Amino acid sequence: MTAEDRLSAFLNEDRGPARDLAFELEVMQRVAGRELLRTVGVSALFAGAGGVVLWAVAPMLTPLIEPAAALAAPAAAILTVTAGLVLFGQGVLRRS
Amino acid sequence: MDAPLVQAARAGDQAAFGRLVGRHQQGLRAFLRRSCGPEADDVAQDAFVTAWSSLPRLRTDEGFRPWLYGIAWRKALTRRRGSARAARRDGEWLETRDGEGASGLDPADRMALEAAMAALPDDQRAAVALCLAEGWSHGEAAEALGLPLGTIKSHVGRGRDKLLAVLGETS
Repeated sequence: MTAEDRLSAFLNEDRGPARDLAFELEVMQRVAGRELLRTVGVSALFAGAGGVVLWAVAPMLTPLIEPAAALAAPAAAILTVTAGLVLFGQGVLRRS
Repeated sequence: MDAPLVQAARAGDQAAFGRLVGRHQQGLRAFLRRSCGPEADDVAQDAFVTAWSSLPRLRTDEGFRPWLYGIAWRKALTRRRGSARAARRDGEWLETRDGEGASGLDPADRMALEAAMAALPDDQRAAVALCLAEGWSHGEAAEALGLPLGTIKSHVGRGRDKLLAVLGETS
């Protein structure tokens, strides 16, 4: 074996596995985690911006919304009670 | 070859990026093992995650491989410079590797070559690892390492001579 051959053998050994699912999984978990953080960050930014906009326009919106809210409150209460009764009834029917 | 997967990954396709990871993990980790030792896998993981976040800054889809290796190499350099314990760990890592390998290489030769490789300057070692071990062209290595083409050629030539010298061959 010449010195060139030995150097070549040294440089070509220990390349590791062609597929390493554990390593690839770890990388992709970190990628997914980073993506989740980015999505949460962007959503929080939009939510914050939306909150600021609503706070700024609240004095103008309140006079428009309050009469509608007063009218809608009884209907909302009736719908809530009806939905509750339907869900409760379904539960009773399933148990029997 | 990577271009379709890179395009899909740029559009947010994590499965496509996963295939790029599978395609390049072996070569990248082998390069990092030769150039930065025991922290290779951590550096490789960091490099892949950074590459995912930085895909919009990749200039050409075809240039993914040298760009990825460039990220990894800069991370490896930062780690080495930032860690006072790196040299000690490298020594310990070399000791644990005594007698490893299935190439039929004499253990004494392997130890001598590993020591010679570790003694090369960082840039020279990286150039040797890419061009002699991974079979990259000088141009591609220059792009990955951010060095001029002439410097890469000179690093590869001198690095090779130093490694051959420990095997008793002088150029």
